[in-house]
Amino acid sequence: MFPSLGHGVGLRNRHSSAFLEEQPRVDFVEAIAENFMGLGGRPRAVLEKTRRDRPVVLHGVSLGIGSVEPLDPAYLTQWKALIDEVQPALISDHLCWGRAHGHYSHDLWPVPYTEECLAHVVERVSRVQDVLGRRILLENVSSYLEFRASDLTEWDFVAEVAKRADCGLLLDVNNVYVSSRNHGFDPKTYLDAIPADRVGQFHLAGHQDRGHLVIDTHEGHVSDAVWELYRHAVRRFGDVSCLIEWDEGVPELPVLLAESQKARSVAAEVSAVTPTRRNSALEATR
Amino acid sequence: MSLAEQQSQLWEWVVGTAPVRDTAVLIKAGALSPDERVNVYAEMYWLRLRDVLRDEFAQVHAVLGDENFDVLAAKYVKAHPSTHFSLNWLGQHLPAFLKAHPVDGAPWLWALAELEWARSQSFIAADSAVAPPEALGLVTPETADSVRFTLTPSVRVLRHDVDVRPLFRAIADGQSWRDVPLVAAPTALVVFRQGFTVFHDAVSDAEATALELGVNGAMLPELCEAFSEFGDDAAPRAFQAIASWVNEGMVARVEV
Ligand SMILES: [Fe+2]
Repeated sequence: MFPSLGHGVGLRNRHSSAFLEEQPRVDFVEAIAENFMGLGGRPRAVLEKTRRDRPVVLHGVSLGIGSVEPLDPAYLTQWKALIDEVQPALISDHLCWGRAHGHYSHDLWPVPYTEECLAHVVERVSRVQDVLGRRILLENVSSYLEFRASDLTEWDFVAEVAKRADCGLLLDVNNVYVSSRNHGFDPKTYLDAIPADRVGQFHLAGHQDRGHLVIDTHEGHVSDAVWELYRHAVRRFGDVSCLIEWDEGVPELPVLLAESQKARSVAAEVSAVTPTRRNSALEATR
Repeated sequence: MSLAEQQSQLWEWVVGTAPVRDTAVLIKAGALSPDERVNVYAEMYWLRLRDVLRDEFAQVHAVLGDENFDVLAAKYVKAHPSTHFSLNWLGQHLPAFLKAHPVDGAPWLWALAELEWARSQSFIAADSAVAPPEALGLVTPETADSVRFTLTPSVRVLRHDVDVRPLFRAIADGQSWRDVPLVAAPTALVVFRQGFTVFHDAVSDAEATALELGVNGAMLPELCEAFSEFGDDAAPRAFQAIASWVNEGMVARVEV
């Protein structure tokens, strides 16, 4: 359903010269869509050069699919224009909300996991996919609170959105882990409830462990616990495009690329011992 | 509680338009109390916006220092919550906000903020064609009344009551802004991008007026009118200015 792009990294300012002047060895690159909508100059030139060298995926942060606030038509128009220009291999945003009273929080807040919210999100995803003319991946966010009103689990909610709205999922393995620690659930139960054919991309990132609270910082190396969960994800979902997010204290490019290589090794190790879903499907057709 | 009510309530707690109380009605407890959970989001909301403003207005931040800048940022974010989907626009009202609420001892700070804002917007302005020097050949006595000049989207014109250029230079060079003598004088600046590099320079009042017209596209007679104070010399002066704009890559199109 979705292309397997291999192992990628986010396009960040600190590495823009490397992507503009060299050809860093990375399978694909993820760019934040809003940073390029209607804009040009050097950032756009870096994106253009990058996409000539390798596949690019576009990741939005402002859709607010779960917000009650109406979808912003100007935003969708610019999204569509950017997609037409950049021709990304995948597009994504978050299963969250972040707008109210005509304002943007620029944060990714969890929604209540209720039938009311499910219907709201499903209807909006369909409209977004109609406007953009293609399927979008929705990413699970990390969260620090749960609504009293929730009567579904997060994983059932996420799975239902994907099925009913016919969209894909961007499974952020670190976010699953962070939320599992903050709310006390088994992260493997979460992964096992997600329909395997809906997952079009993985995210991996570092977090900050404060004991009673785990914060999704996108800083530092991926933790051992998240690598372990990633192994479980590869066993279940197979050879899915996998991206390292490192946005705070962004390291030198070689450090970031090494983290991406580590993900490649981990995935390869898992695939070697476990025929993954996609591998076995391939064998069956040969 | 409806989805709309839940979102409206959480929004007000997080952005600080309502006191954080009775949170247990909306939010589950656990290892952290509902109040603590709301505060995690409130802190993230504030720090994200604060950091964007610190980046966008690095020179204003350098002048004010962390503490005073944060006071300014907090007041600003309250007065101007983000209305645009991109954080790139968060700071759009900060220069005007500083002008309306001047900082003690630094009444000129709004002008520095406006220069920083113009430079960063010019850096990411939409790409456009740049008219080549030959395009000036389109201007002949026969076409003079019907030639239209349009500047590139990267051009910005600023008008200040003080020249902040030496201040900008000093801070960019890591020197103390306190050592820079500021001269109160009407100053017009043009900001523009050449390739990937942003420049700013002082221009005369007449040229600034002409540039302001050219941003939306202007006919040659209108541009000459901006130089009318020079009498018979208006047309040659206008043409001289336009030629320098073309040479500096500020002109997108010359159309007859
Ligand atoms: Fe993510």
